[in-house]
Amino acid sequence: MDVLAPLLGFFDSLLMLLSEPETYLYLVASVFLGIVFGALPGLTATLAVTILTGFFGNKVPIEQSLIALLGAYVGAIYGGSFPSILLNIPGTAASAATAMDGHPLTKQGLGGRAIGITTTASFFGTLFGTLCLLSFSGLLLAIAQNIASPEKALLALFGILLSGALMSSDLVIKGWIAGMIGLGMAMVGLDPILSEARFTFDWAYLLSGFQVVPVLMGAFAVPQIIEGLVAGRMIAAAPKIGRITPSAGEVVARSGTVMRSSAIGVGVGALPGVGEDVAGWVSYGVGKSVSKDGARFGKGSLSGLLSAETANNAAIGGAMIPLLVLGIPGSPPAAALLGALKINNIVPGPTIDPSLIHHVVAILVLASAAMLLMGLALARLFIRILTLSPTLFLPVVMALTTIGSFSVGGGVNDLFLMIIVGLVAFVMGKMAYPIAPLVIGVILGGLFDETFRRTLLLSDGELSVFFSRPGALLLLVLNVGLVFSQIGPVKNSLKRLT
Amino acid sequence: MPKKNLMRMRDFWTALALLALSVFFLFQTSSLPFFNASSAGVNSGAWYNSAALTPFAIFGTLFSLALGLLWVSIRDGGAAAAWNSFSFRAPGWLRERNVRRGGAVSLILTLYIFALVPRVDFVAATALVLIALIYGFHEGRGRPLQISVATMSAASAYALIAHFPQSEWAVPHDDDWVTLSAFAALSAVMWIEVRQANGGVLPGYARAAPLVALLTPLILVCVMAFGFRQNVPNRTGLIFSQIEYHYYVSLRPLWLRKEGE
Repeated sequence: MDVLAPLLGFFDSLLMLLSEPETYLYLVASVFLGIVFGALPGLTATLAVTILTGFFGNKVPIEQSLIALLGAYVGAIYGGSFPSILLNIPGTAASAATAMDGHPLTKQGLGGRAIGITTTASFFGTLFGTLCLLSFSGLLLAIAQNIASPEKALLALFGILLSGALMSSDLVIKGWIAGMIGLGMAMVGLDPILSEARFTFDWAYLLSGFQVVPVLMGAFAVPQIIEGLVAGRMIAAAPKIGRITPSAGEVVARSGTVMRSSAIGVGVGALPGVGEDVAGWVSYGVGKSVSKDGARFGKGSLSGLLSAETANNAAIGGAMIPLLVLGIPGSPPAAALLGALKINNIVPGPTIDPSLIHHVVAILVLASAAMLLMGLALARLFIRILTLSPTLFLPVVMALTTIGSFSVGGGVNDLFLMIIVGLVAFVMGKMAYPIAPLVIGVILGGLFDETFRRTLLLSDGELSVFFSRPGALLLLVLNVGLVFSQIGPVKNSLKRLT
Repeated sequence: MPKKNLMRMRDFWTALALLALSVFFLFQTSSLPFFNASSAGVNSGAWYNSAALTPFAIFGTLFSLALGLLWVSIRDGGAAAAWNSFSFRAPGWLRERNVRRGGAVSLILTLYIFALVPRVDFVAATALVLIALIYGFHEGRGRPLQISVATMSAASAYALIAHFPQSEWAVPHDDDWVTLSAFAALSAVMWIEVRQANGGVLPGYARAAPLVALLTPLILVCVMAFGFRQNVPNRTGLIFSQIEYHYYVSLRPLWLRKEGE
């Protein structure tokens, strides 16, 4: 019975969702908006989820706001493939690997076929990731029940360190610096144990700490807006693509590639703070080295296209696993989702209501179906949207961001915070500092502070508590190992070994 | 200069800034009780019970990482490059097109958030910023950028100078009128200037921009205020106060009467 419980819970949620008329409205609108966000270069999946958090985060019941946010998440990850395939401009970072084989196919006049395969592969990838979320969340929740403060503190730290290490495009140390700045920002306000005011500089607004939504909007939206406007108008003509064919047969014929890419996507997505873009590239790299037609990768290989596109959508389900089970976001859009859960006073983690997980799974299944139908039926409309210049839609995004951030509750002060964080994030981006670790640091900082100090309080300041518990020891070894693995000589030795 | 050298040179300055930042926050943390922590009059005296513990750890780590970055930048020639390029004259990169455009967007957004949104009606302020961004950046020419920044600066300067204190943010509406006039003037200038620049033809985007700039905030503010029933910026602003008044005084009674029938 226990084995069937998640499945029954899922069907229960699915039927409940299908019986409510609002579901269809939210689903169609959010998936459509997500695909448009993904398709427009300069707008990302994280931005789609963040902006919708400002609008739906705490204004409608959480069941409905989750439909809007997850629908946009699924739609945007898929939508990014349109400009990648047709224009060789990745709509989102997650679809960068898709361009490697997608665009050569367009050049060969097979753009429609590439879009058909991508749509089908994205559908299968999302379903696989969702299935993994349903299958493993129960087991992981049972394990997570034994997680106490020492493990939580070390897990939060591991999420920040891992995200810093994997998201850095230049030096890993920059990713960790970004993470530490985020953690430092989370220290502002009343401390969670003694209610001591920290770094408030006598400004009452700061007593409650930095609010999540303005930080998210600032970190993810403002730099995108500045970057897009600086880049200026993009003149893109919609290319001729031929017939768009639903390509289930071609995808099934490459079921090995689909299964491998999905598994990689879920695995990478489940790593704290590592997003769909890394999943796409890892899967593409693995595919190139193990696939029979690896030599054709980069020249218009369907296997290459499937490797990247299946993995980035499968990573969505993977990213939900640490978010829901441990309260640690698996990707930047998942960090935005965590922000939405937080403003609804829902604390994901070992104590989460399993029915919420079933609800998320049901929404993901419906969103992937909506994505498949819309992707095939409205592909030509999305292709027309590609010709819209960022200089025309980014100012509108700024207005959305402003009113969304204002309405979450903090008023004008939230807007001041948003623009300051945004300008700092823009400068950091120019200096090759990744922004995701900073945001994850802000979100997990409170958890880290509280659990770290509670551990020491309960053990009367004995640090040995971090060695005496097996889970804590394992996480401590992982944290220390991760840091040491980035030190020059150790890194070189590891490279030689692999 | 090769990209890597340029990056290391920037890293050198960033590392120094981060060192200063972490020292500042370590100093701020030192004002929190550490070895003599007390709460609600109860003296705990234990270091592990202190609110300063985690900030010390975080800013100490940040200090160490900044030292590491400084070491990497010096090792890779960043310090030498920084020393050689140091000058009291404006550096060359300030004259680069992208830097100027990035600075202009940042300035427009900063003026919008800090000067206009708190003081001016949201519809008027957003309409002005939308037209400034569309006109200033769409065609990539220098002249529209200068006109946009100048118009935004003028409207923002008036709002800031005339109504700086928070007590004057809501009323009176003179800054709303100034911002609306700036929006109308910028739209007119855009039509004339863009038509001239495009050989007497006004492109579609320029024709539609003022309407889009006005309708976008109008729809957003109405959806947020009456759809989601949320607070919106500057409720007493010139345009929104009229919308709200007519919504509750003119429109709602009509609906309520219909429902009653």
